[in-house]
Amino acid sequence: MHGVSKGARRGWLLALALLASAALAACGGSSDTPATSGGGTTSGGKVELTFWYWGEDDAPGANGWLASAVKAYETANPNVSITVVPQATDTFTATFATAAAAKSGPDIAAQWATGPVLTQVWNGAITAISDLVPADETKHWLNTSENTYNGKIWAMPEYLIGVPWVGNKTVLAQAGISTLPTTWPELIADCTALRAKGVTPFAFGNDTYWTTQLMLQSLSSVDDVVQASIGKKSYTAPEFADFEKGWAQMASAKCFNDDVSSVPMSKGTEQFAGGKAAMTIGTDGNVRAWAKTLGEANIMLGKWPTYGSGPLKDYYNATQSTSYFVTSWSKHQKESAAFLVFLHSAEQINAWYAATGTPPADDRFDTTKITGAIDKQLYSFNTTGPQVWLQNFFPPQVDGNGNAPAQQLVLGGQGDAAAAATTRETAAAQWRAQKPDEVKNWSNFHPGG
Amino acid sequence: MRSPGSRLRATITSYLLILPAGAFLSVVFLYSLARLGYISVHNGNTGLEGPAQIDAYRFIVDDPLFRQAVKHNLLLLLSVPVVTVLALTIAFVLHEGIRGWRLYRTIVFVPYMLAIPVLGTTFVYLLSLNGMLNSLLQTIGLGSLRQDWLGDPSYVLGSIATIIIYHELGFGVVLFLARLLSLPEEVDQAGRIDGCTWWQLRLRITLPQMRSVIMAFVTLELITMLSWVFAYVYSTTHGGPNFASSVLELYIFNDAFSFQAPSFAAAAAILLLAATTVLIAIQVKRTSVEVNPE
Repeated sequence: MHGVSKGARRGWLLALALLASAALAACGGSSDTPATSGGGTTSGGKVELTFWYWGEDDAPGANGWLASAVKAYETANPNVSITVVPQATDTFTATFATAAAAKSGPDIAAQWATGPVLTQVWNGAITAISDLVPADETKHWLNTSENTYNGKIWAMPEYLIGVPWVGNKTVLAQAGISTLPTTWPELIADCTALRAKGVTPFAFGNDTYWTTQLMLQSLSSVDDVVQASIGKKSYTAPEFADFEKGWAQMASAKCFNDDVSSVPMSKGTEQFAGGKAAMTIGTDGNVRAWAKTLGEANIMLGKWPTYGSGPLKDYYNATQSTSYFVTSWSKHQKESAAFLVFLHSAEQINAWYAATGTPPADDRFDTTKITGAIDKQLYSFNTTGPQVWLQNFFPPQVDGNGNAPAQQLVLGGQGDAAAAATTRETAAAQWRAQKPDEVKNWSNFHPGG
Repeated sequence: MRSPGSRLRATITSYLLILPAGAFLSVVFLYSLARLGYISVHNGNTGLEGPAQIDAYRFIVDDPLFRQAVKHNLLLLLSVPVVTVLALTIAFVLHEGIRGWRLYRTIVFVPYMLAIPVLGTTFVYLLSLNGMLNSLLQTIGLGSLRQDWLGDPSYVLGSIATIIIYHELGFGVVLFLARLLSLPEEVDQAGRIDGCTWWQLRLRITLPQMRSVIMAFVTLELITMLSWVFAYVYSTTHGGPNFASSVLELYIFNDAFSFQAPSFAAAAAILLLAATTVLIAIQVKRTSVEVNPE
């Protein structure tokens, strides 16, 4: 017969225990990942810098540009050697956090602007770039306010991207529409007209959480979001919750592609790229790609329609997205800062634009190099007037556990604005209970705007 | 007969022989586990920032997102009997020696060889509202059955369970078929001579002989549903919509990587290990009693 012996049973149990342990160790192991050491000096006096870089996902071509920039810098500075380590999107925040905990790792690193950068400032992992680079250089960098705290600039911007409202002229014309909506009632009316013609009015997906940006139009200040996160205000108050009604109105008016709840943004916007949807929103890079497939003359750009009536309602949403900084433990902070400044040299910002098509975050950029009508309009949006990308000002946990499900609730028609607001407030309450130290740091952060 | 001295020498030699492997496993597994436990009660990514101010275990047990994730893992356990019965049925059919059974076996096994993210991405296209499944239903006049399989909270967990079953089925079929092929034919023939029907043969003669391999498969599937479903969820829904498909591993991943809360991730991992160990111990105990009742 097929009996299981006692020894075999023990072996089986041991194997299972080991399997489970291995799986768990894999889950928790990241915390123990040893950081790569950087910032060494060889006996010959050569400076070795390590740069943990992220940017390719935002601006395709970025990795290639940086490789060329490093080569050029090393040629001009033979005593400096720079090792670039591209970072993965899903893990680069955690990877750097591990390095920061051990106070050992790269000399230069990247994090997303504001929340993620300031978290590392509060962890003592970043040396203010404004302490290393003279003001007559940093004054040329754009959107430095995103990483300004305690009167210091903590990280360097390299580029600016926004998320404009985009229309397909040909598809809009099918419903007799010749301009993009500027108010929410206009938008809803456009949706109704387009649906009547059998056209999908607005292509969208369920994985970006960009809908939260509309909250800005009802706020008095960006600081309101920080105050709500730390519990001094509530996300269920009308100024934080009402904007969800705008998205709910769009869902009721069948503005979205019917599969909006089950597809990611990349798939949802395929309808727009394929000329089957009239409008969408997307990054500057998305817009350039759509202009190639649909024809530049067929693309119409605008700012988001107005829903709220707060003082920030006309702010545009451009952001530097990713920021680059010198770590507090680097033995070569000046050399690291010098390399970052080099990336803002005229030659390099032009090379950046040539490689990525994304305008650099520097007012010395020769804008005559921007020749396409779409590119000119995007650059104008990104550099005219005040700019706020609201997601940057949420603690990452509130963003992930609050903004994301709130959007899914409303777009999927599974909850109303109040339910979405409650979801966001619950996430903030959980974060406050779980991370008292972070709450203390965020309490000292008072962004302007 | 061996003397007590030689038996002692043999025992010592045995232990010495397994010492290197034992030491290696201790370092790799037990140390990792100990570190995980340490981090769960300390602050910081490496646990070096002093004792935790918050009892991570108590916090996560009270956390509605954690409870929801646990509930989803438990619901996924319901897939285990489904995949087991399906795999057994297919194995029985293939074992009948139907024409081309080797080809069918390969076809059934192919999904098991595919990387889970590949499978997940493919199923996103198949199961989205305008995906192939709904188009097919529409084409054959069953449009009323069209659903948002991944976007509707009522269906999303079932959809993920289906993907897991699709993936795991091939493993079960191959495992059961291998066992079937190794069974002595005489027992089957004796049953036939005694007038057993096909079902009686399978249920009363074949199944009891396969009990140990079935139990092993069930145990592995229980582990899968509790601890190895992350890739399915991450590659299809990321736990959405609105946490409707969140599972424990995703909860751990988010705490560890997205929210920088390593002690909470570690505590959740320890609880998952404890739950898995208890469940597996019960299952193994049951198996040993059923297989070896004396």
